[in-house]
Amino acid sequence: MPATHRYSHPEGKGFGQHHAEASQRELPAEMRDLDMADGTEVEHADTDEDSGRPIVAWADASGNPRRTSIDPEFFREHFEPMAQDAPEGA
Amino acid sequence: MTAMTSGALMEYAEKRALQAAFGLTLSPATFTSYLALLTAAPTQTDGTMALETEFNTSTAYARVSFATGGFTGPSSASPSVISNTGVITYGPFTSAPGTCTWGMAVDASSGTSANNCVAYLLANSRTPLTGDSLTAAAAGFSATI
Repeated sequence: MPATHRYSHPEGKGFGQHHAEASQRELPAEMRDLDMADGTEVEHADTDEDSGRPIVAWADASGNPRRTSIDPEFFREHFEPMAQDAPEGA
Repeated sequence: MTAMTSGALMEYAEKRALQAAFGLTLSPATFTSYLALLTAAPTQTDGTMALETEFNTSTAYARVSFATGGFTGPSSASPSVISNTGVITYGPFTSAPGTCTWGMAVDASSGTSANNCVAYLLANSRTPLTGDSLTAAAAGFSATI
C-alpha cells in the first residue's frame, strides 16, 4: 500500500475514539484494538462515487486491510500528506 | 419472486456463470469484488445497488474488498465452493449506521451502479455504535454453484 497520508490527532486519539468521545461514549477495549490509531499511514485509495468523500485504505493493528470513508473537512484537518520520494535526478 | 438464500448468486452473476460455462465473452473479463452491507433483504432479480439499502458513507462506512484478503476456492468438488480467506472489517464508524442484516458482493467500490453478484444473509444482524468497527470472520461468506 503506497501511503499518501498519515492520520494525526492533536491529542493522540484514535479515529473511532475521537468520534465516540464526541458522542459521550467510551470506546470498549476490543474496539480500541480495531481503531485507526494516531500516526496510522493510509492511502487515499478511492473517492466515493455518490458522496465524493475520500476513501482511505489502511491496515489495523492486526494487519488486516481496512477501507474507511472520511468526512472531507476531517480529512483536511487530520490527515497529513506524506512527502513522496522525488525521482532520481529531479 | 424467487426467495433469497444466503450465498445465492444474483441474476447478474447467474448470467455471467452461464456465459463462462459456454465460453462466451465476459464483459468485463475480471473485476475486483467488494462486500457491501445492507439493512434490508434484496430480491434475487435486483440488478444493481440502486435497488438496495446500504449503510451510508456519511458514517465512515466503505465497501471492503474481498480480494485483499483473498479467496479460498473455488473448490474442486461438486458443488464447488468459494469463500473469503481473510477477516473482513468495517469502520470505525463516526456515527451509528443502523442494523445490517445482509451482505452483497458487488463489482464496484462505491456507487449505486455496481452490479449485484452474490447475496449473503448474516448469521446475526449487527448494530455498531459510534466508534465501533464491525468484523466478519474468515470463511464467513461462502457461495456454492
